[in-house]
Amino acid sequence: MDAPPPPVDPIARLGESLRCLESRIERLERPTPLPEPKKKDIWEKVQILGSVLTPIVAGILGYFLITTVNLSLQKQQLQLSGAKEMQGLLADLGNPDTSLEKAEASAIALAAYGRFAVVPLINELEAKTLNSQVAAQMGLHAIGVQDHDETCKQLIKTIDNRTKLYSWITHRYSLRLLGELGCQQAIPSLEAYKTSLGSGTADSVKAYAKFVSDGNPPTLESVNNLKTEIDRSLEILRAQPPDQRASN
Amino acid sequence: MFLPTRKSSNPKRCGNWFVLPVILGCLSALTAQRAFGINDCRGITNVSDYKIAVDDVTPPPATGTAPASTDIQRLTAELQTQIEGIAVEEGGAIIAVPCSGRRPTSELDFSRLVVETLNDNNVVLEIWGSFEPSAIPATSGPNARLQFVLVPVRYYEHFLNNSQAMSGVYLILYTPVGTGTALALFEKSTELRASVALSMALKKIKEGHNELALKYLCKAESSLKQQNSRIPKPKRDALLLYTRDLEVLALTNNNKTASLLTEEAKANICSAPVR
Repeated sequence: MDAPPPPVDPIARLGESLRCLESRIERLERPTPLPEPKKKDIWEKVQILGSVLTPIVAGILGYFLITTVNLSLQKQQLQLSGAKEMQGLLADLGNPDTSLEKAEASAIALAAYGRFAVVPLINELEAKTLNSQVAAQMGLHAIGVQDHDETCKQLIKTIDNRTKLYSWITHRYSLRLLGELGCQQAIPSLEAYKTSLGSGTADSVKAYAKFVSDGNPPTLESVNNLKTEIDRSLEILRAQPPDQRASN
Repeated sequence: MFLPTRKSSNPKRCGNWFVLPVILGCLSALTAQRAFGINDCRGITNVSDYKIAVDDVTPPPATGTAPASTDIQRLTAELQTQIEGIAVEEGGAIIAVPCSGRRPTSELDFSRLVVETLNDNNVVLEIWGSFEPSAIPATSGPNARLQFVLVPVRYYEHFLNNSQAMSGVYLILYTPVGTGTALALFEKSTELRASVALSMALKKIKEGHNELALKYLCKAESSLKQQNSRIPKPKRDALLLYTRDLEVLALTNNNKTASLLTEEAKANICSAPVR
């Protein structure tokens, strides 16, 4: 027979329950610790960065685009207004009744328009009047000093042309100017031109004549003068000190 | 570089824009003062033949002995006739180009660039005439002056070889004596033939046609040796010497030795027509 359980003191039980309740209240009242923050992955970072950078990049690109378009438009406007202003001077230059002095003055005035006058002056070398041929050389000299790169570029294009666009006389003046203006980048073109002149036989002169316009056909005399011009230009260019070569 | 437009003008840049009109103004003033300078010659660049440019005959500065306009017309006509005669003799190899309005004043008008352009365009001779007052106006008419440039000679010898003896520019004065006129003297002169032949000879040597050059040199030599030649003696001697130098050059280019050229061989070359 089991002994009957000892009688439980109701006050002790009440005390026990009270302590239990207090500890539960204490636990509940204790501040809960913050959950560990979740780390962001790369994709989220890119998205955030993208949202920040997109307007900045769009702004910069827009700025450059507008600037480029504006510059291009302004350049065209300048070219147009320049062409209008140059028209009178070009008319004077090509006029057969113009004296040499006046043609020279017109060519120098044209040179003040800088790079925009280079191509018209090269065309004047091709002109049908003696005075404009002489004056155009002076004009190109003057531009070559102030807008060296553009003048060199256009003169190189002229001597590289093999489609009968220019006469040998225009090529001769261009070959000379390339040397006198110190156009270092012209050396390969000058060497190629010398090769195209051939060995000075009648056949080689005929072969060379196919490259230049028909008006005034080249002769052995012209070919020899062209060779002399090339040699002189190459000598000038190769004699330039290295620091000047770099600046060119 | 361009003149400012109303929209683009900027007060800070006004200083720069001011320079261009000033330069243009100076240039136009310069041009206005010298507008009488050497004019162009139409027809020189249009054809590839050898050319003789025949410029204007000009009257002298205003004096009491100014030539009548008929004198100027006669000299012009005579000049053109002589040149046409040379063109015919050459069988069309050389043409005369009248350069109306072109009036060179001296050899200074024939700078290196100008002469080079003329030479590149196959001009062998440029000639112009003028009158000048007679020293004895009461007894004789005005003197006729003829000036000509041997274009290839001036280009190659004077400019490229720096020769002072061969300037390539010659002046001949036709001073009437007694009752004769300057024109009568000019009609008998042989200077033009000699000059054209010499220029052509040099051109032909440069072009590698040495046989043809020798024939032109014969012509030049015989014309220069004629008694009625009015080129001043020192210049004529220099031209004769130059003719011989060219002869040696042409023969050497042809692989012949000048000293071995007999008189007979030379006579044969000279008697053959120039073609």
